[in-house]
Amino acid sequence: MKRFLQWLEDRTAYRKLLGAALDEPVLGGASWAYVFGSALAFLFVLQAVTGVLMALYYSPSSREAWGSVYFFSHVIRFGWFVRGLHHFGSSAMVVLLIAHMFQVFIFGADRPPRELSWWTGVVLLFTALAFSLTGYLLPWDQKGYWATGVVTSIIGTFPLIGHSIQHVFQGGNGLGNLTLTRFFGFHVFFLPAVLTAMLVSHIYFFRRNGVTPKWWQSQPDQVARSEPFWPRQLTYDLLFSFLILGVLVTITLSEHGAPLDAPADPSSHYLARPEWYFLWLFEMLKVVPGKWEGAFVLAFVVAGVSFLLALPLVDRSVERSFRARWPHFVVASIFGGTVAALTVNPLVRDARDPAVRIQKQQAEASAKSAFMLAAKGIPPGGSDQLYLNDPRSRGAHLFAQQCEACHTGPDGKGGDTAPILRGYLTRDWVRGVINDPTTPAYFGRTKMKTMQPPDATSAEIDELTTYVMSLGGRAQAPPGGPKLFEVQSCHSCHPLAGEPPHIGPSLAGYGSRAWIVGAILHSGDATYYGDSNAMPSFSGKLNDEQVDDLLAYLVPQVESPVGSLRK
Amino acid sequence: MCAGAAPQLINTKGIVITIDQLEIQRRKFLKGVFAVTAALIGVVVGIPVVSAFLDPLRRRTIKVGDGLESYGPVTDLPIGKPVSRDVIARKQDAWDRSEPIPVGAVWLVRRDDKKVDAYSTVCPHLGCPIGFNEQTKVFACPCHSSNFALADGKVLGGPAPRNLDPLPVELKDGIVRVAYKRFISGIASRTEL
Repeated sequence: MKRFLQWLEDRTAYRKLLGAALDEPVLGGASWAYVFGSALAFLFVLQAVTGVLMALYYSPSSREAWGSVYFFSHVIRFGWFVRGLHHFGSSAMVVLLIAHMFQVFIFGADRPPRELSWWTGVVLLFTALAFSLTGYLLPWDQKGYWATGVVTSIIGTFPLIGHSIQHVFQGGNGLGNLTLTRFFGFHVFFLPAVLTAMLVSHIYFFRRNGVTPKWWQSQPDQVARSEPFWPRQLTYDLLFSFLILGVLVTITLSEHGAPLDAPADPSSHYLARPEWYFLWLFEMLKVVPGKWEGAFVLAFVVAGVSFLLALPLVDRSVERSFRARWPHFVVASIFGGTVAALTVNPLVRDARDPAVRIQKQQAEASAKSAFMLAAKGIPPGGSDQLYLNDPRSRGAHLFAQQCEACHTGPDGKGGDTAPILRGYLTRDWVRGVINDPTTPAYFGRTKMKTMQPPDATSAEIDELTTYVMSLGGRAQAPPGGPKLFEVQSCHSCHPLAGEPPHIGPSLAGYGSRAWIVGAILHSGDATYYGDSNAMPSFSGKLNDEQVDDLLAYLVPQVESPVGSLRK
Repeated sequence: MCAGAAPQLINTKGIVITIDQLEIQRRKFLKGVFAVTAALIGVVVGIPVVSAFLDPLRRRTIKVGDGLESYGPVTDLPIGKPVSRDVIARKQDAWDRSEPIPVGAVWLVRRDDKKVDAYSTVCPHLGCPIGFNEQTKVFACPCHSSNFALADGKVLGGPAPRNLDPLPVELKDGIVRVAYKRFISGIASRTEL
């Protein structure tokens, strides 16, 4: 081994190189204040490793992107974990960049002769934001789609050239295939090249001028306390990076990986919100009057960037203490404070809004059903057609179009003038109708108001419920059922099998597939609601397949005792 | 070359110059050749690369809808209450032509038996999907709280630069047909994308 190393040394002089890297003196001694830069370099490597791995599984087209990310997160071993690290790692990068900049600014490391370190650092900050923006869309899920749409639209509001920039940026007149290929290309080729070049320059400039020591140490003190980068500072750096990794792993485990919503759907009423580091841009448009918002946002961004770039040119007082440099801190606080306030405000507002909570629950539910469908394979039409190939989703769609004006459906959406069909024909629902037929949730807002609740004990109502459900073959008939049906005079209005129509709907085969189909298609027939019916007839309007879809959505618990409608 | 006096050469114009001067001229010439060649490489590679990069600027990469699409009988719509319907249409997205898929949504408002208004659900501000607030009976955007009147889609408040985008509706034989369109968001004028 020793001989091999000597052989290597003779040919590469690596010891000199390593020495230059490790023995670099840290003026004033190693410090926990200097760990941010190394942690960022560590995060970059982590993002690169996890990113390259994900690129091995990713397909950048609007048909396939979502499916490929789903496959990586839900099928590939540890895929969810790798994607989680990458996802939360990007947020950590933004947080650490801000922390790093803060530390550097407080220590006065932006000042001459370190202008180039500062400027390359500023470019790195915006490169990281560009990474986040382009990466967020790639899963092509609802969250990424709407978040990106909002941010590109904000760019579109910039005066004069905003619209053109938006078009070039998103690769056309909307988010689509070319946006994905463009964002993917930028995310995995162009931006890494920019970042690497900037990072190498940044570290080179840093090494050329060395660390900016603590301003409260006297010069002799700094020299006396100096020590080489290795081992103390490097160990501090590594320990801090390990801490960051620990945080990322904890978040990834507790969130079970990065979030993935249902596939992007331009027809949905999804709650569009950008990722947290762009939220301030989004919120600014709420604060500024409509007409001038684009110009204002642009001016704010330009002013902020100009301040950052100009800082080394104006921040040149002899002293590095806070007292000598307070005006710069004031300006920085105004910008930083504004951005922070505009970030926190919408987060708090959304957290308090019950409507937002409901929409988040709906998004989670549709993501779940998308995963279930995706497990059977993405159809040739891509993730756009995921729902179109699923009877239950098609049924939900039909319900929204045909029924929701009057009925509230299984998803809790819809009108209240007809019975609520959430849990339709489940035991609870049937029992509810028997127990209290004329509450608004059942027939209270219809013409069917004459039905009286039975004068029976709770146990008897349970038995009656079971009996009624048994008529459609969905429960075992209880022995006392027919008698109870007589005694409670249900029979005086509701005919049973083989009996002619009466006032109330026939309960022959009640809750069976055939019965429900009849109720949907011919609700006005004497066998069903007759004169009390207010529901339009769907006979001839819905074909067999559509009825099947509707049933799959409305009464998934109904097995098909009579056999499917479709022959 | 002999030592001492610099050897002299005479060029075609009869001017006498030294070898050193000739060397300087040659280097100058080579620098020129380098600059011109580099510029040529830049142009030959740069023009096609930049043009291809900017190509989507003026191209309608995404086209949705095939004109009027049916939304069923007018009698299915409640009077005065907006109903959101998905637009199921083919989408051309760059090279890809899809089967009918959800490409957007519309708000349908039936005024009476003869009139149905259709609005795009895309907010004219930043493109967020506009909802309907059942309590206040206005169209409301969940992003920046722009509000629009139920009666005619006019902006009531918020940063939206224009009213809701109305879509062409045809009511023939009791069937509602709507032509779906997308518009540029964020500007006062209504320009199709």
